[in-house]
Amino acid sequence: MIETITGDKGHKVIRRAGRLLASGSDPVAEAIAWLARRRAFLDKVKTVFVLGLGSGYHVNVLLSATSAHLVVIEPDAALIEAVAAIHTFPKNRVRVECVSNSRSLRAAVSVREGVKQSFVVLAHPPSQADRKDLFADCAAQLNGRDWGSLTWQWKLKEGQMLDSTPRVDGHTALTIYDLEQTELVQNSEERERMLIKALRELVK
Amino acid sequence: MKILVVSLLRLGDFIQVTPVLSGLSHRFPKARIDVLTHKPVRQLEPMLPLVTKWWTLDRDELQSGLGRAEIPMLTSFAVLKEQLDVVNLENYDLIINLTQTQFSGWICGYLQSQGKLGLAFDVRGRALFHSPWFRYLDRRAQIKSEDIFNYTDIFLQACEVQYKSWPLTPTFAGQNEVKALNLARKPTLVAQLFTSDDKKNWGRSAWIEFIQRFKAQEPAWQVVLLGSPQEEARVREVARETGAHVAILSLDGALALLQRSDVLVSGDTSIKHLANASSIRVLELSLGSSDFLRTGIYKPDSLILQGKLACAPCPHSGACSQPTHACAETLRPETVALAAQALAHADWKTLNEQSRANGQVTYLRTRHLETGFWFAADMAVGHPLRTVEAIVERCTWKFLLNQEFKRPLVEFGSETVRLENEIERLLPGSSRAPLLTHLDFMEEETGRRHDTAARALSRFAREQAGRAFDLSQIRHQQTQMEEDARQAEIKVKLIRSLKTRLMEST
Repeated sequence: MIETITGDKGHKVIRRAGRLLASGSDPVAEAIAWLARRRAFLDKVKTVFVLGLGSGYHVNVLLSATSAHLVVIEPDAALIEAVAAIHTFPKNRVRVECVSNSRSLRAAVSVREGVKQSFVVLAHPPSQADRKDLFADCAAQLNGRDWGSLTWQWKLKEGQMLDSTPRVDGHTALTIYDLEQTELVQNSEERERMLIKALRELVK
Repeated sequence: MKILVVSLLRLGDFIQVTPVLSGLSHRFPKARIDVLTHKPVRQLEPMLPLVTKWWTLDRDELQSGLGRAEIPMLTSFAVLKEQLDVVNLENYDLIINLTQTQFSGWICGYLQSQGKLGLAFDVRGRALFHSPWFRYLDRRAQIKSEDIFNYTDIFLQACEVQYKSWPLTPTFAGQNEVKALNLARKPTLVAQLFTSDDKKNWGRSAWIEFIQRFKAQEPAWQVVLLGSPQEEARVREVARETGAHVAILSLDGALALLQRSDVLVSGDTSIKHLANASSIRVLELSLGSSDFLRTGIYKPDSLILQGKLACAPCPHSGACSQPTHACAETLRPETVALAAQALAHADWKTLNEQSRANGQVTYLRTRHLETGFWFAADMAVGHPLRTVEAIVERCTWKFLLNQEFKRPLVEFGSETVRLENEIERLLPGSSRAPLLTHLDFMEEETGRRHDTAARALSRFAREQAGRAFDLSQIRHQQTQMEEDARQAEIKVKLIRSLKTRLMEST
């Protein structure tokens, strides 16, 4: 059940099934503190995926901190509607995708477009408490540290057909070394391979 | 014309190559010069108006993106690609890589331009150097050898530009930082207490004793302890013990301070390199992995002190191999204080005497040779013939790497005039007879080396004919052997020319 309450400082905050999805006393300060611990690549990437809509304050703070497109992944349609009553996000900057499983995540146009270029994934823990498995799965798909999700992303970037047989054990987190050795890089443009080799030098 | 200079090492390494930027702007007055560096180097931007555009890579961020599980696997790749694709849109005429690392080689291989200089890999992973000087750097940079050039000289020669100046100037903001210190208008010694590497640090107690001694020796002088904001707590500790002034400054402010001060005492730091852009006299403490031959203070008439230890310089990575920090202990504070005092008054006669009296420390005076290179002359002059060997060796390499031998008229004559002048400056009044005898010896030895190399090359060519081996490997070996033979040949000719010159002037 979704309720909108007024916090101590007059901010509207969403409560779902008795759990607040942002700080009742100062959701803006909380959002700023949340973002302060997640600044890597924010000034460089084209897209920021946010896992969980919460009460929307972290999305507002992100809008000021980066010029990237924001794609917010949220499975709860009622929550999306409630947050829309609190915040008006610019449509050209923010897209909220109502996603119920990883398949619909992969099918979402904004997700597919975002993955083609540079992106980061930011998790909003207060929003994720009720749907941990879904958000974990979405994070895994987007972080691309297993063979299946990586090939999905690389295929989107390069548009090439790739082997479906995993080259790396499904339980092992991939590293840049694996990336270089796998056929998905060997089949890619030679110049892209040069960048992989450059990055490999950074972790030697 | 658009030139992109790539320097993907640390701040001090970039400062060391700024004369190349100056040289390029003189050689190509209408060219736009841009740089690609790591993010921390960008703080030099306001101090380097010669550079039009700064591209930066955040190496730490790229590196962390590869390792952290919560950052997508392909983010570092995508960010790097997008950044470099924007750089490629500039359509540079020339890209010069002044970094000799594999990372930079791949980056420069990816970047597109009409021409390249310095290391760049091709799509097959072959290393292309585009200049014999860069190939020399690649082959010899790892060798602990005494005949290596200062890196600044290598880059100047490779880019075919002359040394003109260090094009760094402080801004008003930097000057205001110094004004805010309210320092008295009196002779000033600046002490840069800390380096980025523990092995290169002299030690807190050594600094405290040095400062106390110097202040007692030169009461009219003020001592200023220079540090970055990260070093403030440690700098203030030393200031409390010594009564010295504290200057916690940005790089901009540091340069402004150096420009209004008289002597700098420093380890191998970016501040030391920055001092080249001022008239301050520099006393460099060469400790740990400091390799003065390659990265020593470039300004002439600077002083380098190094303990006479077999382990110096030690490798960058890895702990000190000695039970105690021997190189730092050998540079006793009283020795450094006396040297600093003499340097403060440009009293090279006293420094000569100090160097001869001190059996544990090497005193080196920096010079710019007429032959076009930086040189650190051992002031004890225990081995004058070794000095002559060293400068003849440099000239030999210059002729070889500049491929002077391909010209119809090789200027051995002009070079030997410069060599003779240099010998006179470095070894004033020294007798010609032992020098000529030694040159005879060098000629004979080098001549034998040339004969051996020529025979080996000829035998190699005969053995390889008709064999189906890897051609690139054969070519590589052959090139190496040809270079050895040619180097010996050039050296013999230089020695003969120098001998003739010296005999005529005797």
